[in-house]
Amino acid sequence: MKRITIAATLGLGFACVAAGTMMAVAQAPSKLHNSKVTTQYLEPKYEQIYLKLKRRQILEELDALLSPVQLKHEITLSVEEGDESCKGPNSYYSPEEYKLRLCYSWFDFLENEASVEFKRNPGEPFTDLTPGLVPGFTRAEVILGGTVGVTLHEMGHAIFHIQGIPRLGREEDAADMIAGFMMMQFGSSVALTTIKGTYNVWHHFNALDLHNNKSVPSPAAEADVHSLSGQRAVNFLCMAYGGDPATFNQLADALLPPVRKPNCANEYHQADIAFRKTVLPDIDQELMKKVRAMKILRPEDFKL
Amino acid sequence: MRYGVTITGFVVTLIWLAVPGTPSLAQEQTNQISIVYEEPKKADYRPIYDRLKQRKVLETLQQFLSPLKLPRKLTVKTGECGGNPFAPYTPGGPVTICYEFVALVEQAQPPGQIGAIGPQLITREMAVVGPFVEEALHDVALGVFDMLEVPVWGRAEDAADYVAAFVMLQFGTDVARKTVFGTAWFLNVLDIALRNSSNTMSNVNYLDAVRPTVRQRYYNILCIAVGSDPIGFSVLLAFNRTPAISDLPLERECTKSEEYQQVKDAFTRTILNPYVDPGLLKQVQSTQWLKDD
Repeated sequence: MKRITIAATLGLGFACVAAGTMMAVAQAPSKLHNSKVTTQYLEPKYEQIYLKLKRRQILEELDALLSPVQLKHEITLSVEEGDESCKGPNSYYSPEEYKLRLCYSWFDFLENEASVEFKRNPGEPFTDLTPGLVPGFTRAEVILGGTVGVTLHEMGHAIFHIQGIPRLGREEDAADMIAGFMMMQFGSSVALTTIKGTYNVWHHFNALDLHNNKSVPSPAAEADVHSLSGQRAVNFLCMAYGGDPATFNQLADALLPPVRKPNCANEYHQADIAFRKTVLPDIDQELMKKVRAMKILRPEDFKL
Repeated sequence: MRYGVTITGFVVTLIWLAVPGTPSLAQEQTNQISIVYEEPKKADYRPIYDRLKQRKVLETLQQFLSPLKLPRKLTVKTGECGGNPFAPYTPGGPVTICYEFVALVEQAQPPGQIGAIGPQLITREMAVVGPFVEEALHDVALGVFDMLEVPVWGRAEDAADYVAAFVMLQFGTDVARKTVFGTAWFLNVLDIALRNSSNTMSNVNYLDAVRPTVRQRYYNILCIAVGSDPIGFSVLLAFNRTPAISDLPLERECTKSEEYQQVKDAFTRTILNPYVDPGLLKQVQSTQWLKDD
């Protein structure tokens, strides 16, 4: 399926946060900048993560990637310890403050939980109830994809709010949808890494949810503004398969429910229309070309 | 998409679908909805087909949707869906209200004249009209999204439920209560039946289908209703009592109306303003749609 390359303006890059090897290569800051964007790194309680993120210039890169967007309001991008909302693995956008908070706790979770292989007994199969690293996935994919996924999700909330974009569906699914769509605009390699990582993160949460509730979703979880963790994993993969069936066919065969797979092209098409009609009008085309020339995921990002 | 379960234990009732008679409107020519009652092959559905046709259900829907400005005809039909009450909409295709769905609604009616969800009483009329209206509006919404290329962020099935709920709330208190509580009854009964079935709730073909889970739909629709009228729909908020599964959790914060306002804003900007004739809409809004029959 044809992709909207313009979406690349909003994308990723800023992904790697993990191990020291990749951080040994300092990157020059991008010269692209959105005048409406302020960045800050706060409260280095998680000192190692703080240093990694700052050295990788994750926020500066996000700023650069936002540069083609004609934002209707200033926004602050912050990596911080945050308030109560950052206690668990989380990140969030605060519309009252026009502030996107990436919590250190999220990166800590990626490095030390979601990307770690769960110890199983000999012969014990990996199931929906098994947390941690999904067999066939890599630790780097989980950390990179989990970072990109959460950042684009929160950036989705921010763009919806700041640009006043109508959302007919549920807000949290809308943010997942724009995040997944953007992951697909940087070529199949980036798409594969980020989608796999994001899938793994939500598979991990789903396993924990199911453990805590006798293998079925609780009504409380069904009442939440977020979709169920397992649904979020499938939503991302379905979007990817719908947008690039050749790249994702194998994963889709293995991980998508048969009833869902035939609808994935429609789901990608839906996001494509929504992006073209609501986001694209506020994109500067010239700046977009420069952003598209940026390296998104660098080789050193994978040396974990 | 397919829920993949058969609800057993309900008495299949034979009462007529209590959808309203056909209101008279002068501007029928402007209608872009074409309708078809497809004859069922399965004999079990013949009575449903006859009732729907006799009651001019699709004609009523056609007139209700007459203010909608579409570039071409959108066909809405009743038909068989291969055993699936919630058959997915196929882009470019007709909107199909499944006989299987109607049969399921009939099975889910209160065993007596009156049922209840928590403290809310539900009449059989509500239990039939509510889910039918919701499903019809939901299915049409999907067809309209497709035909008009409406920008939909978030899952289309949720958006279709949101639009259906929002529309149901725009025609006075009586229509709102009948349709919302009736839909809630149906979804509540269906969800409980699913939970009582052996393994549906852990089946990915149910959990990760195109549609959200039944209980998610239940909470989503109620949240829009509560956001529209927190007092009028407060009966399903567990104030000063132990919450039941049918109560909309207070943690969802639906009384803040944020979800309702989001849907209202999106519907107004993407459908109402560009694609609804205001003059015809006034006529539709002044029509009594759900008569007490």
